[in-house]
Amino acid sequence: MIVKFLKDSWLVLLAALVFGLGVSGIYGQLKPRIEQNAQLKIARELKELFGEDAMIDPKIDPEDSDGKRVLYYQANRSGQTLGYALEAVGGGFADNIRLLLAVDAEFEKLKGIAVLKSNETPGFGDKIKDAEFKGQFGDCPVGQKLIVTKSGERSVVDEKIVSITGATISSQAVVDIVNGGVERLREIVK
Amino acid sequence: MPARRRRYRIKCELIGRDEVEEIKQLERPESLVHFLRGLWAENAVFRQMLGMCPVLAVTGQLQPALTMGAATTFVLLCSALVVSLMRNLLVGHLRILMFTLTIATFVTIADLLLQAYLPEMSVKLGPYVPLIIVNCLIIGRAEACSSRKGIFTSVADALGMGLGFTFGLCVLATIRELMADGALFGVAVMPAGFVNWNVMKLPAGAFITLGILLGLTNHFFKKA
Amino acid sequence: METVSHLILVFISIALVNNLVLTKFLGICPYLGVSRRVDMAFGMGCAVTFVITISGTVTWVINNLVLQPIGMDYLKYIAFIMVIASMVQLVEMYLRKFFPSLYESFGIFLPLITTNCAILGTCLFIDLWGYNFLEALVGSFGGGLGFTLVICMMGGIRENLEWADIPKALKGAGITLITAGIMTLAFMGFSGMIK
Repeated sequence: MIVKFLKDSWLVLLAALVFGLGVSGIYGQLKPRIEQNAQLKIARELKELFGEDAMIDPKIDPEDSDGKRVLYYQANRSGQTLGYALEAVGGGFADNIRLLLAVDAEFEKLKGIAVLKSNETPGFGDKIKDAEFKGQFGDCPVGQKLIVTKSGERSVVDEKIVSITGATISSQAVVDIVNGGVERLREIVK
Repeated sequence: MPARRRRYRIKCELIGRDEVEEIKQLERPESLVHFLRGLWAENAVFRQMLGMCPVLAVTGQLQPALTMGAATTFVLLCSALVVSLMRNLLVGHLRILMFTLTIATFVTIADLLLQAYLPEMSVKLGPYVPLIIVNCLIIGRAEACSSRKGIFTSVADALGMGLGFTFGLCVLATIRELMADGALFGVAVMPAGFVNWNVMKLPAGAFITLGILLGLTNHFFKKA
Repeated sequence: METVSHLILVFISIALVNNLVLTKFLGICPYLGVSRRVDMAFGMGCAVTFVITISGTVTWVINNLVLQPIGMDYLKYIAFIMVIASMVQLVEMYLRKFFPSLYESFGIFLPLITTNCAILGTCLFIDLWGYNFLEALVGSFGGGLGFTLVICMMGGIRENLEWADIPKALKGAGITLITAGIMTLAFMGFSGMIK
């Protein structure tokens, strides 16, 4: 019985073993690079928000056993705190949206946002990545909640965010994530 | 009239044109025949309609389409090589399982490579990279070619099929990116007044473009 | 009560708003190949729903309870496809033995299903969206039903297309794809349903 089983399937078992080992080996080789890529991407976005010469200091979650999960980022320039940044996730139109949002050191103004991951409708919802929409968040006051309006001037810096035509839900989702994210960041930092 | 042509004429008159063409095919090396067949005569996208899922899903822009084509070709080549190496050991119903296992392994490797060296493309293609596993083109080639033929023929066949597939993806992506963004590889090429056709970016645009392209291929290239 | 309404949302989201065939392009091969008649389309749809629900749930369990705790989730694609292949085999054997009449009606589609991207795709999307166990169960079932719905609709349309006067070159796959495109536009109407 066992002999027959082995005779039939030795190739499958052997191949599974060899392939499994091969994939593990390659994963081991590439893993540092993959992790570095993710960090580089966030570092690049942060530099864009805080300026090229900002020093980024990731604050690690003390409760995380691996000591790897980042709670928030602090940006410094020549010993002075420039501001804080946080990764925030929320439900978008089709899928979750992952944002990076940055505020200044006094929690008065938003530095801006960056879209790390989104899967919104092409041509409509994915305009949340465009500077025209994203730019509205730069220097917004964070004392009060941001709100979405359908019409208005995008260049005016205030708490009103003008939504994308045809993508009201995506716009609302981004604003909600930012509002929630700012609250959380304030709680964590203080 | 050159001598070669005259000989061809006489042969055609003697035994009929189709037969002469067939003999010509037979005289070519097998690997070349397989390679050329994949490029157009049995093109995966336009003729066999295999692996339609990535063809529709990642052709919104040229860059992801090209990446997907390259990844698929890589998996096709590697699995053709491995399957062809172990073709004499394959038995009955476990054959398909072995194909799937081999393909899944190389897809995982391709996915890891993309994550490491082209992280942006990896995010953009998302689950469509692992979905190469169930691309019927690859398992179809394993079954029809590499499990029967030698290594050289199998690899040539895989290369031809892969390039043909990439070509199909790029044709569709060129049309869609040009109309949806007025751009190629993300660089604007259309005149300034061009109004983007947003529908071409949506799933509907993918379906309709491919439908019309298939109609055109049938119209112009169908054998009588 | 909240969980129930949330699960209903998950169900509608995956069956209509993010329909596997029309927005994620999964399962295009059977969608084009087996949709010539409504009864065949329905058989295929049932078989897919059946397998998708089982493998969606089982792969969730394997991924979350086995692979992730031991940190081997880079092997998940291989594990997923193996689970699906063996599930298809199991379902086929089980049906043949205990429900011969059911096997008659959609058993012939089962071997085709292993390479149906809708199944693996659903498992991957469930993993990507980070569903919990109940969501995975409901979501995979909803995905299957959504697939059945559109493939049957396509079957109905194609039965009538037989009588239509279509340009010769577009007959078959061409007109089916264009019809699918128009259907996608119609399904976009569901988009605003879920916030």
